[in-house]
Amino acid sequence: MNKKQNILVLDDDPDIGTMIKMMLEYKGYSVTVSDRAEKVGEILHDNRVDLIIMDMLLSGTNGTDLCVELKQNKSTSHIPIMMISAHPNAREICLDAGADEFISKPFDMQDILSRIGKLVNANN
Amino acid sequence: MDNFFTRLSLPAKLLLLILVPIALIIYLSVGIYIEKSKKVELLKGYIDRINVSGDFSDLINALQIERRHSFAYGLKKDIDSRAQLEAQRPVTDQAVKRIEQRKDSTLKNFLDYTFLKDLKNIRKKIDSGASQDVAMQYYTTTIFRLNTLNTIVPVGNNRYLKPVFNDLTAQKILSEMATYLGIIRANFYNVFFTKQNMAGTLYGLAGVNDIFKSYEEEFLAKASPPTLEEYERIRNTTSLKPTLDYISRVFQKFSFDSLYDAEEWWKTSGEGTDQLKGLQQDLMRHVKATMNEVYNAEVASRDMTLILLVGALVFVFAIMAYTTHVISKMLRRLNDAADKIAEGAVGVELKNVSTDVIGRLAKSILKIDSNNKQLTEAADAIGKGNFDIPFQARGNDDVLGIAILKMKDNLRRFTLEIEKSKEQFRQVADNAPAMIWMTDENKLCNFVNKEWLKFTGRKREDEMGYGWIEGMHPEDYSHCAEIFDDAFAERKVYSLEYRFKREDEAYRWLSETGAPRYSTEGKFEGYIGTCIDIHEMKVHEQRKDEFIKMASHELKTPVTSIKGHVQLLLTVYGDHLQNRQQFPPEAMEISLSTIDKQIVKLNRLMSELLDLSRIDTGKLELSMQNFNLNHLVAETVEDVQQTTKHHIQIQNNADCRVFGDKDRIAQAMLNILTNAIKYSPRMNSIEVTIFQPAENVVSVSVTDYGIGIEKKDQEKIFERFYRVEGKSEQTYPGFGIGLFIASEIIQRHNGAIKVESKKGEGSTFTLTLPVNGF
Repeated sequence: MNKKQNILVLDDDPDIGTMIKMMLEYKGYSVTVSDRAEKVGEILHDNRVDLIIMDMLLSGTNGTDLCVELKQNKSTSHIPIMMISAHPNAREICLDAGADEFISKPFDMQDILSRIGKLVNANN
Repeated sequence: MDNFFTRLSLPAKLLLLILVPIALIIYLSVGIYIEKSKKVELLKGYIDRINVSGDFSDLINALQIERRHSFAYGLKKDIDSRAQLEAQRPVTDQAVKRIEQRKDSTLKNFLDYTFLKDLKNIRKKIDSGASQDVAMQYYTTTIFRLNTLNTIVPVGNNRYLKPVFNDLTAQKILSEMATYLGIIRANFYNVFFTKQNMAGTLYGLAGVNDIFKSYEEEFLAKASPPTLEEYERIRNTTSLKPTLDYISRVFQKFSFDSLYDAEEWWKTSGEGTDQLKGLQQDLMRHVKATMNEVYNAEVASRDMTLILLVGALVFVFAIMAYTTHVISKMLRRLNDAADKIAEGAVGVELKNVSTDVIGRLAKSILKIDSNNKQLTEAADAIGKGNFDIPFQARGNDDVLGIAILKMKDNLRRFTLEIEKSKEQFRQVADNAPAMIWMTDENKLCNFVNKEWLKFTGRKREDEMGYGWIEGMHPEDYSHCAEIFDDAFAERKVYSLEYRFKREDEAYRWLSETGAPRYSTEGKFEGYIGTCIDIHEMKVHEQRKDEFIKMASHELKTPVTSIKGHVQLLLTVYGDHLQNRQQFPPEAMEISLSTIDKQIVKLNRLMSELLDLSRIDTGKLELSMQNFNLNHLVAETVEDVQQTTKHHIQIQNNADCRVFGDKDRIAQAMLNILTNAIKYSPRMNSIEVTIFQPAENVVSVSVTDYGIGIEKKDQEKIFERFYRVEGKSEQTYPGFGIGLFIASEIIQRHNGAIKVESKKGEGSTFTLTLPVNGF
């Protein structure tokens, strides 16, 4: 690994964002955390992002709306998106919105890491 | 016999009835006709007799004239007498011949009897110079004999023939008188001519004169008044007068006191005798004319009788035929009317009814009809529910009328009972605190109660049939129709929920239960159902569902955080030592403190749920004590200040002690402060003020400069499970029951909680409690 793969985490609960960041950094990923959907454009413009992990419910723009927007935009449509939610019916809503992967909260660390690995490697 | 007569047709019966009088009429009429004919025959016989008598009278006259001329010739042997004699003889022969031609059996030997067979011989003797006495004797005897043949047949009391008979008798007497007068005057002529044998002649003629006198007396007694009048005239004004006066004087004195010139006497007395004969012939003609009149009248009377008889028969038959026709026609009309009534019709018409038994029958039929009509109208009116129609039975025998009256009373009673029971049902249905509806067996709505109409604000007729469906929410229709149709087909009870338009156009959730209804005979009559407005419950339920979803989400968030950190720590500690160095002690501290913080959060959430459950079941217990509110506010703010970047500033404008559950009031304060922080993420200033708005109360207000609350939501935020809707707000964590619990706690302390807010500018929540508690 000559260069660390960069992952963007979006969750409006800062504790969750921090927890995922710590997990992924321990496993060698580079992680950017944000709690607002509006900041995503700026982040994607400034950094190379290999994967976006986002909560379905975000302050401001909804996670599902953001997912649809990113998948429709040619410059961002190649970025795999993993959506997470504690909402009971979230899986279908997220996959319908174009998410590549969905994991329900609370998740298992080994499970989320293996899925992240698959998404990142497949993309490369 | 009776049976036979009964079966006869009406014309035959009438014919039989009329046959007897007709036969009687015919019998009597024929009798009268025969009687008339007999009378005519009788008259004819009389007329023949009179004609015969006339012929005899003519012959007697002719013989008297011939006797006069024969006597004169026998006496004088002159040419004049001779010429007159010659002229008279053929007249006499003609008269004899007429009688011979009658061929009357009674006159068979009259020539012998009257010596007329000797007439030719006598004439020869006279021609050859026989004396006047020979002539006088012969002619007088013959005339006498003829008079005896010429009898008058008595007519009895026949009123037609009585005057004729008198005239006939009178003329016969006149004829006799002329005969005897002729004898007297001839003998007087002889005396005057010869001037001899005067006394002998008087003696000889005295008997003749007596006969003449007795005939005259008979004439005066029997002749009719007009005849007597005529006789008086000729007796006093004509030559008869000097003739009879002279004879009377001679026989009175019994001597010829003066002598007439023979020729003068012959002339005068001849004229006088002719006067008698003229009267006799006038009477005879009158008799003949009268007889002919009577005869013709009788013939006419007989013929009239025949005509009347035939006419009467024709008239009787015509009347009978017409009567039969009229009666048959009337009976036929009665029959038709009776048939109509028998078929159940009313309103028959019978005009021009007579006053006889048929007329009375017609009136009876009309009366039956009018009664039927009355009964029909009454029954019809009663059938339509008009029980006020005036109707009376016609008497104890009016079975139908009494039955209808009973029917009317029973129907009225039943109708009243039905109306009463309907009214009861309507009252029950209308007063029931639920919407009630009914359908018929074809699913068509036929009843809704007052409560239903109050709900929809529509008219009853608008809801009938399928009208009510207009109120149903279009999204709910197909689902409800399916359930209802299935249940209806199987006659099952069903329940369903749908949205229905209220009078204010708002759709409300209704819970409907429907069940089949049956008549007392077990016949299916449709469905009956109730609808209850469950809108509040339904909304509450939906909110509860959302709350549960949200609660599970809220609970999962700290669990996710805790699980993530614990698994990270486990991974780190199970890893190789050199790998473990990548996880610095600061990171571990973050993990552990996060775990600790999340456990506190989890604990708080669970406490809230527990409190909610306690409030719901009424088991929220308060542990009351007297404490300083300012201290409690300060402690709570201090605790909160440690978890947030917001700067919380306290302003103590009052210093108060209250009596209450210190922990619960702290919990309420905490919930309000937490919300203030949560809903003002961009701002960092929160103000807490303690003040006394009135003497016995104290208030704590918490002001933030956050997103604020819209006016429509300000009341509802204190309700359980209520969260302000909206995308951006959805992500604020928490159960949304914080304000509800705070409100419940403050209310339990007889306090109040209120909010002042403006969207986008911030909110101020104010708790108000009584000073020193209760």
